[in-house]
Amino acid sequence: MTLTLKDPSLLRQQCLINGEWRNATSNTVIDVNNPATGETIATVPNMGADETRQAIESAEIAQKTWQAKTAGERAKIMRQWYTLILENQEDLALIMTSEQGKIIAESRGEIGYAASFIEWFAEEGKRVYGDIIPSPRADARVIVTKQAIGVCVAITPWNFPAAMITRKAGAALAAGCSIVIKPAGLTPLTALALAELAMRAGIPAGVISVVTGSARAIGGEMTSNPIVRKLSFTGSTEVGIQLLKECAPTVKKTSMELGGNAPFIVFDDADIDAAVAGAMLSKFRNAGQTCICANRILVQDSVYDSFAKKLVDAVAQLKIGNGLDVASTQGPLIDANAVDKVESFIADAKNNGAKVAIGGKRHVLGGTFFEPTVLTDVTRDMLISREEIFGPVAPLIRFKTEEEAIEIANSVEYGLASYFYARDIKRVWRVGEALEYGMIGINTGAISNEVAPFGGIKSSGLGREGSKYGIDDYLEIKYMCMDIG
Amino acid sequence: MSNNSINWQNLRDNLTLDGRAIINGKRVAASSGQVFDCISPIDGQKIAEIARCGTHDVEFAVQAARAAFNDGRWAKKSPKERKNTLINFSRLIRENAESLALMETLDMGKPVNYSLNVDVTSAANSLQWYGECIDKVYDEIAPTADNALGLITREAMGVVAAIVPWNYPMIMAAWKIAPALAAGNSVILKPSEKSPLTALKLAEIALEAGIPAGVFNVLPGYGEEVGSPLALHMDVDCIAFTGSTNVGKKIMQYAGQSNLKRAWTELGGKSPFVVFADADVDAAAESCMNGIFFNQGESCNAPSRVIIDQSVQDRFIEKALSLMPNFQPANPLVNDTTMGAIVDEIQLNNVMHYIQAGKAEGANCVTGGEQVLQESGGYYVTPTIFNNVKNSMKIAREEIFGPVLSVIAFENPQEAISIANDTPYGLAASVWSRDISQAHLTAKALRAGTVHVNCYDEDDITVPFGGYKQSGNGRDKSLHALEKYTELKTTWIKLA
Repeated sequence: MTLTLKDPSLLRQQCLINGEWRNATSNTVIDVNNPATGETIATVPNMGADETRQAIESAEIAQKTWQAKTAGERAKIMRQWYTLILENQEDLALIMTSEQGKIIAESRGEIGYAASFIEWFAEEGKRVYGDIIPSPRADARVIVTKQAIGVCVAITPWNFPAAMITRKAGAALAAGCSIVIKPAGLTPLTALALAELAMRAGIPAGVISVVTGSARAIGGEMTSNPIVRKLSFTGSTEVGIQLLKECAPTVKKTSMELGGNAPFIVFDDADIDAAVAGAMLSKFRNAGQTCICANRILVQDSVYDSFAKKLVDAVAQLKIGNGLDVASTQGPLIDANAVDKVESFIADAKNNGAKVAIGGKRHVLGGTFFEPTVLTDVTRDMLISREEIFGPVAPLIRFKTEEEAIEIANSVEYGLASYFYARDIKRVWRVGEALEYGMIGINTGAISNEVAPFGGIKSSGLGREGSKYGIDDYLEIKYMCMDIG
Repeated sequence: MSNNSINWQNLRDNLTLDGRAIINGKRVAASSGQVFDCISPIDGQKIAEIARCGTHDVEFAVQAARAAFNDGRWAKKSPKERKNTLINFSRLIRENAESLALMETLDMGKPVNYSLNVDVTSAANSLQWYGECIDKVYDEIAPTADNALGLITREAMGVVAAIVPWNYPMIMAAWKIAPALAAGNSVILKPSEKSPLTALKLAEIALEAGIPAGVFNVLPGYGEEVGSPLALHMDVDCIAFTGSTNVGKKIMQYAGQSNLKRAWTELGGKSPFVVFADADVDAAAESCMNGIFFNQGESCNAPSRVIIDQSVQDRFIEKALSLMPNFQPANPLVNDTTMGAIVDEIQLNNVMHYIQAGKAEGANCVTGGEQVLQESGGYYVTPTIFNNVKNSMKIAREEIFGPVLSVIAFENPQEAISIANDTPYGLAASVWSRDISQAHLTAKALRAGTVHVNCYDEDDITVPFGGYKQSGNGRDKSLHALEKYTELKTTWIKLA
């Protein structure tokens, strides 16, 4: 099957290194499949350490001239990239849905969201101010400036094939860094299309490179090469820990955006209809495959039954199907492993007393389609409460008091996103301040945007992406002491 | 500090008051030799004679301030040295707390307990806070190409004049002189002719603390005779005014018609206190009574208009009436007095005039409305609450500056916001609700410089204070106040 694009040259099946489109040295490839149909839609090069090293070495040379440009000059080129992404939104969305499975409306939304980081950081690059510190000596001046960190690498996941790249690349480029990107093996086509548009926008050769292939070989080179000053990773906590260990010998700066186990708490004073709408958005977006999806829905005793009933009614409205069909509201899961994991979590929950209120099994469409599911009578010690589900399953846990809800919410190793619904002003502040999470949605299930700092505490990661704080991850502070006596 | 043991009458008997101006580090009489009487509103007695400064004295003070600024005796000291001096100034204010508190109370009539524990403390805190911050305020470097360095620095303006009112004489002075002095300016302070005593004492203390002669001058006198010449002076770089909206408008005009000096104004208010049906009504009533009747109602940010859901209006009034025994006027020199004397006879007549106007326009006076304690010789008014007030009535439109509260009922939340904003003023506001969305949406919709949520006037020195609309421009308090007393300089250095 081939994709029908308005601009077929966006479907790149080679990697971009130092401005050149190249095959792997070994001339081998890996297949890219459509999870909705199982068909192979393209191949990409199966690269390894050698090609990665070449990309890093060209990034080192390119970074020097890129950094020497003014922030205004960099912003002008980045804005061109932003404009081209939006001009090609339909083609990019089609590529994304075809390799990732999410419904076409979500793909279009993600392309707009991804582009917003390029625009926002281009502008923010002009505001990298330093400080003049009042000197303790009359004959000295104490000056602080901020400078680009240097060559960066990014390893990105398959659930947001575009946005997870631009929120790293946008900040890096605005700060004056160059970047080598390894996209997820399951979703490389969106990344390569973005790279094609970067070239057309005039981003100089070597400033952005994209390498696909063996995660172990590419990642190993990225973490061990001393030229690389910074690694930014979005993915599982397990892999994040491995990368941190590998980065330690060369003391690379790292940003880690890792797993979550988001609580979604509904208190007895909440607007229940609004809470259901928020839960649907937070839980079932991208078929539940986001790191900030509601993972544990905690509902206060007195509203538990009415919330559960309304949630089940809303879930019954979801339409499962190929993401390219505009009637679909939930696409397939990414692969067979994801389905096996969801199935095993539901089995464990049922064995321990949970009840299936709706869904609970593979969808009749077959493949990797799974029924959107609501489980009731879930308890905190079940597997599904302790680990990240990454699938369309909403487990409902009953609680009695506010203290109990906070204690359950904070009892996990993760600290990425959390959500709660309440009206009482004092409770809102109390709970907001007590939750040990990097991000909190209060009476909303949608928290992501380019102006806010995205990131987690505890085992959910290091650093922040987006917002004025996001650019700090790509800057070093330099202090100059000047004697003028 | 425990003040229950202080015998204020004894202290009063031993208090010596010096009404002379302070110019260039010295106590001086007005060059005309003229004085005016300082009358205590507590008992109507004359307590001192005050130098009646005029144009010549303004000239001397500006020359002294300019000379001090030009030779850098203060402006060119390191931030750390200015910090240490201001902290010392603050410490000496605390050491002189009792005599300062007594002067304030004798001069303008507020309860001495508040003078001691609110006014002296706040003034000392303000000087300490700006002192402590000034060696930690960083300047900026612009994001330039490698061949240039763009420095953005803040520099002291030069000679700053400050004109302050009589309701919180020490605090209003401190809010202006602390950031102005911290930034390195020379200052000329004109206190109100109704309350000059503590300002003069502060200048004495400043000299003792090590602020050099000429850097902080105080000129007592009348608005037309000292305030106007300062506002019109060609060698004053900045004027900061707190007072009425009428005079504030003149200050802006004078600044414009002279040397375009920077003019900052903190003016009147008619602050709304919005209570929704879901609020803790008892707590709201208590907070409102503490707000409106504190300082005899003589506060620019007093919550003088309660705008309340009609379904909880009766409960609010009932709770408010139960608290009235706590706010009855009494001798301010007695330690447990909570409501003192109105500042002078003119202001007393103003307040009584508004109370008459409220009754004449059909508002229902549910408590107070009387002048009392006439036998003392002083000026006292009982705490007054009007119910069934319409926002179009004079008592709801104009700033009374006395212990008079107007209660206005509304039927729906949208109406509450439009009533609250239907005023020429925009200084402060309060919203009471348990619903987080209602509280946030209302706080955002209110056109006021400060909005309190489920409280009133509980903020501190770390946040800005100032008004929207005809309540003035610029902000006192917080690091933002430094913006009023500094100029921004760009230095563009070509490197290659």
